[in-house]
Amino acid sequence: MMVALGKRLAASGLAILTVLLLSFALLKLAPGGPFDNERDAPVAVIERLEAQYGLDRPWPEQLGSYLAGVLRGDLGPSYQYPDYSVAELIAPALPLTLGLGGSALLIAIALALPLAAMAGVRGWRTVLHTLAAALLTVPKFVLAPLLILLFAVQLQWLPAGGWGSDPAQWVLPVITLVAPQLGVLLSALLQGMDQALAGDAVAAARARGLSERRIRWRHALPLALPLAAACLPTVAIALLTGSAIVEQVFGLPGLGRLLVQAAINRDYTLVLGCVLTVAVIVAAVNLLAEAITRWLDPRISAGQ
Amino acid sequence: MAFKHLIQRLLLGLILSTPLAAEPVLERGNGPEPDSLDPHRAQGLSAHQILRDLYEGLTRIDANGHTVPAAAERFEVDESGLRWCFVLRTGLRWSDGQALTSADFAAALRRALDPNTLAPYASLLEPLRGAPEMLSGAGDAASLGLQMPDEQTLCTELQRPTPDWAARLALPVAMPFRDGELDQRPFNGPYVLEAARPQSHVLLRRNAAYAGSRPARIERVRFHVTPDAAAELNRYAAGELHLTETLPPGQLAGLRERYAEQIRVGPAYASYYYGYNLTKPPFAGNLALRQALSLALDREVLTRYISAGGELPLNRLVPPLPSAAAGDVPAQQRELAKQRYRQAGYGEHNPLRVELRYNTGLSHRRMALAVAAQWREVLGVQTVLRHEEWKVFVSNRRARRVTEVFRAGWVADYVDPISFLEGFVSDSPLNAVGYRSEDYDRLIRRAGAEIVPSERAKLVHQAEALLLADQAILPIYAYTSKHLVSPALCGFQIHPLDHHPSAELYFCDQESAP
Repeated sequence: MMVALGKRLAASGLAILTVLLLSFALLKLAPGGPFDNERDAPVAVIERLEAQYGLDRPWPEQLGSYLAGVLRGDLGPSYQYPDYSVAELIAPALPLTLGLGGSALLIAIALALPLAAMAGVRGWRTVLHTLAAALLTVPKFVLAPLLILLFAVQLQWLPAGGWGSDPAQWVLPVITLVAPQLGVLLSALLQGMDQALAGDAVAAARARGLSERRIRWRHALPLALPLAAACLPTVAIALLTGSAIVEQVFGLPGLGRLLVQAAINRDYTLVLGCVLTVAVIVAAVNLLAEAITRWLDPRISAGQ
Repeated sequence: MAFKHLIQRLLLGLILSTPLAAEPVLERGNGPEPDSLDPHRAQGLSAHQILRDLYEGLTRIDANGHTVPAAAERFEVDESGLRWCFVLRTGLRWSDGQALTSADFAAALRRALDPNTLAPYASLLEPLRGAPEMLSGAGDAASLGLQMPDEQTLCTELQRPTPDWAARLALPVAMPFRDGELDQRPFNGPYVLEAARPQSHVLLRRNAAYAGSRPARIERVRFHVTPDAAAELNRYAAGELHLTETLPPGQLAGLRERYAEQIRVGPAYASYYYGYNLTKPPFAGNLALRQALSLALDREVLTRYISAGGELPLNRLVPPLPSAAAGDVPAQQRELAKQRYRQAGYGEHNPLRVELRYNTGLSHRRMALAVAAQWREVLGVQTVLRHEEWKVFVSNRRARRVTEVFRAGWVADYVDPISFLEGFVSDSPLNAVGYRSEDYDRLIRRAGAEIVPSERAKLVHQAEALLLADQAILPIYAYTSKHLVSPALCGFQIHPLDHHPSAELYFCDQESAP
């Protein structure tokens, strides 16, 4: 068991390192640099800036000193925002993105379960399948502006964006994030329900004369859960990486927006810092999901 | 209304509510993320807008574009035009209570000129004696032309007469600065920093120690990061902003119908133009071709239907000046365009094929399409449009290797035509077109040092005329500043450089007179 865990951890570490190396290479290959601006600075100033940040040294050396810094817990300075270090920029952004994604995940699960249980009721199956398909197909960048137009601009019930002054600023971003992931969870659960309702366990329960309600909740839904559980890591990661669009549209100071802005600004260290953070979280989610799967199903034993 | 509150409470019961501020906060959109709140290091206009609230320089630019005293009570220049003395207002203090003296302003100039500060605007301080040496790393701070006869007076010695020196000192790069952690830094402006949340907002509070000429009337100001104009408009429409940084491009007519007098559009001292790469064919040494492309444009159509934000058609670099071609592209102008085009060696069977580069963005794309269409219609030019991501665009423009025609623009640093023209001097890092003219360089040098205003204006005019006669650039329009201003907000004034200090603003239901 411990050997398996060690192997998994080593594999995750290798994956994170690979992601960092690829990101570093892509950044260096991308044309344009952090100090290219509308107001072109004199060559001497740009050279001094590059020397200050070590960008005048060869690539391998830059990479080496960056990785050494990461091991010491130092993610470096931000080139675009000299008032802050990379860690100082990521620290306030991360809780927002995790909080937003976490609440969206909980809400999506809380809505998907009762909806899926309704699949056994005559006439509901088609409605629910249509709903799941609709939720899956509406892109976030379409849904978000529609929600803003309706609830913020027309009805003026909720804020159109921004962060910090009003807790209502959570509502529309969370709805936007929940919708597609609810679609994913719901369609997985519905598929499971279809199988379960046609299966022997439900037939046996019906033969025992149990109520339909009890059958749906206690006999069919539990059989559908593993399919949905298998989707959970994908859903969680999609929430994390998908937050960039939602954060952009609603002007939320989260990790996704920070990463996009950093890439636009060629803020190399900030891009790498954000990528590293996301990679670590994705690796952790995958490890956790695997542990849960092993725990749910002991047939998957160590080493297999 | 009650339903709205019910919904909010129900949905948000789990989340702790923040107590509402007792006093209304001025909520203003401020465009992109401010790059730095260090006045010497800040480069972006969004940072400068905030810095003018946090700090007060010796001078400032008023709504008429004039340079007026700010932290200085008065300033004077001697007959040679070389020695400028600034006398500070009495009783000035930093927000931590420490007295603000001429030494603080001198220290700020020294810091801005220190090459290790990496101040992007430091080159504007080059007229100061000893500044070029210091910037290049050869000089030292002691040899800078700075004298402090007393705590209230700062005298600056220049190496050449510079009539716009006082205007340059209004820029954040000349503002006083005392270092420290961002949340503990002292300020000398009408506001101090209360909180900064990267990517979200910067919150300012009234500076109780401020004893300058323009005390703040609104207790708190929140500058929101609003990089997307459409999202900013939504937030204004939802009642979350009192003042927007701009309007989405091309929507002015529709917004006027909806918002009427809340829309405030005014001329800005900034121009939008295309540059030619003068170092490579087909534009190197081909004046007639550049003339033809310029003559073929109907700038009236471009501003009325394409940029559509009230912009002024422009036939020159420095706005706002009357445009000869505004109103119509007469048949004879088209004929002249065709004639020049033929002279340049092109024609129906041998059309010019040219690449027009712009940075990705709807408004630039619309303009490029329209310009290409007009060239095609009048001359038959075949234009390939290339849009590039911002950093790629800027680095290509500077390198001059692949560019042919490219989008450009300039927002003046202070209200003086020199601010537009200096960038085309042969060795300027801003000279992306690669223009080289000894006559032009000489004219700009002479204009920069001429202290008789009428003579200076003449030289500036000659320099601009030369640049235009050489067709180094293709002017298109003069920008406008565009804002939405809530009816609840008073004191807003159109400003040629789009400066809108929060201290000038107040809620209309407050007592209006300070």
